[in-house]
Amino acid sequence: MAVYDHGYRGYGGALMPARSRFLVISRYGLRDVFASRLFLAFFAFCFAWPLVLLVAMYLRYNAEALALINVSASDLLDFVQVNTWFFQNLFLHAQLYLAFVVVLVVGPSLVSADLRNRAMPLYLSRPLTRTDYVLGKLVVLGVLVSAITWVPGLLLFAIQAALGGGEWLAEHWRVAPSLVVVSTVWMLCMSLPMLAIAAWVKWKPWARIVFLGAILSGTAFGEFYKQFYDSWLGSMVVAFDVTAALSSSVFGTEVSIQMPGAAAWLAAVGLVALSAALLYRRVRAFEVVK
Amino acid sequence: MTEKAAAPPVIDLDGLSVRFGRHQVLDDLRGAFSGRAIGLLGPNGAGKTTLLNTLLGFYKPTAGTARLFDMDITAQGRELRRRVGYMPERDAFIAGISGVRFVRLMAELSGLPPEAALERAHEVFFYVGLGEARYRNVETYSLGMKQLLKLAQAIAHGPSLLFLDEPTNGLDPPARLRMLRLIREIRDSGKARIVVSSHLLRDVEECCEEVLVLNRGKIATYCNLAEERRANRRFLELDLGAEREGAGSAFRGAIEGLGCEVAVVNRRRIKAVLPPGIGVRHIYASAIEQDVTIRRLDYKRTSLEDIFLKAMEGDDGRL
Repeated sequence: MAVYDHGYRGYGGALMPARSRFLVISRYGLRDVFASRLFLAFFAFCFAWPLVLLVAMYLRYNAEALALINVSASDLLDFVQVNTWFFQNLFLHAQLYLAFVVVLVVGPSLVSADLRNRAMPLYLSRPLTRTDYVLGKLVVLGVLVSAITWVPGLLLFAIQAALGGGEWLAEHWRVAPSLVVVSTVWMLCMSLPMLAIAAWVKWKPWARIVFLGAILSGTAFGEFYKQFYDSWLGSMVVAFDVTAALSSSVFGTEVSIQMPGAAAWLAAVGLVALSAALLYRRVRAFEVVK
Repeated sequence: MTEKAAAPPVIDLDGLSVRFGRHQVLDDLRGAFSGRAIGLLGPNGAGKTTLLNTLLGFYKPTAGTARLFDMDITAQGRELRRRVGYMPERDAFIAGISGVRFVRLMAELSGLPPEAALERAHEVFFYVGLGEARYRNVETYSLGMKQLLKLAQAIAHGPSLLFLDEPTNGLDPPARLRMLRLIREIRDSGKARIVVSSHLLRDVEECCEEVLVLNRGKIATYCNLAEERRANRRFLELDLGAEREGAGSAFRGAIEGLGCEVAVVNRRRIKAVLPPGIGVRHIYASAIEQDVTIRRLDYKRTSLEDIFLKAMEGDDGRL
């Protein structure tokens, strides 16, 4: 089958390991995502805030640099307290808003086009399972969300640990795993529903509208329920409340809402399970009409 | 259906049944098929595509099983799909990428390393005749080009079994001929066995050596086209000229003497089955000896259409 030969020939060369085959989907997905310059610009912007925090952290420990910009060290020490709150609220929660935009923009394009153009039989006629397919798509969102949440978070943590010394590290060691856990759980809680909706709606703009609509209507219903019945149960469907409660339970900080951490975990697990079930119903080679 | 030889059959159906709800789509299919190119024929809704999809692992059998190259379709599905290429019936592509990138992705998903996949992608594009269009976005391809693109992605990883579902669908006559030529080339290369599902008898007749006719989810008939063609060469129909009294009977006796089975249709027309080693030249020699003129000599022509129509007949003889 060579260009000069024009005859059919088989392939007898080496093969890649089957277990990592799903990463091919992720690799192609990431390349497609970064082909958009607009997205690339937005993705670069996502690192602006961690950079600001990094500069603040650096200045806090550098009296000479502070003198250059005419700021007193005590003022900055009062203003920037690098503690659990700093990493949880000032860094992570701010980054999660940006990650939400990333999921909203990238998520639908990963799945809806494949289903709309009937590409599933092509994927699944290869040594690839439905789980591999979903995993491959999920890794794309996982990489993007991780890159703007826990990865810079851990970098900031490491720098602060180096600047703050052993005492600070002993006091705040829990921040590092918490950054990873909260970011990962949040990524699953946002990505799987987004992929599931995209798989059902099959049209990117509509998938985004439905996803936003689901979050907003859940928030409206939850807030109404909380006000009307004076119960935290309404928080189970409010994305912001679930994130805050879950994050506080992991970071070990005080929660500003009434919702218990266990309830937040239950809501998160329920959402992930429901989304996975919905996604699996759709990710098939062919629809079976009974 | 061919006998099980040393090499395992390409497809071995063992009571394969598929049911969707209350609808029995495939019903107790049995048989072993070993041809280089196997045709799946049947009217719409006969179960051809369902059979292909079940063999590919898209649907789970409700009873029985099937084996491809002696590998179970359910237990060894992943390993099997590495060796299989599939060209779906309907339009199927990944949007927003060039043709060569699409085929490369498909080859990589089949396990080829990125560099080898890229090389193969370029090669198959030239092989199917889309070389010049390989950098174009697949969404801009015409229907005929999309059919060739589907074939390209199906053969990119060098499968040993190719499932082609209605490969000539929507093609104009030149494109159809090109597609059939490619299928025959792949078949004759001996590198891949081919299963062609089609409702077009002509396409199957031109590409396939074995034909499995499905009707209402059951095997209506199986036919080895190659053997059928060989057998057809043994059946003769002869029209004799008006000769002297008794010459016809003498001629019949002479060819019976050669070992032929002879049936008399009427005084001037006879049918004969040639035994091995006896050819048409022996018949002509006998005719000369007996002073008989052969005005017409025809081989029996049982076309695939005859076989198909016979298979489609109900018990009452109606279609």
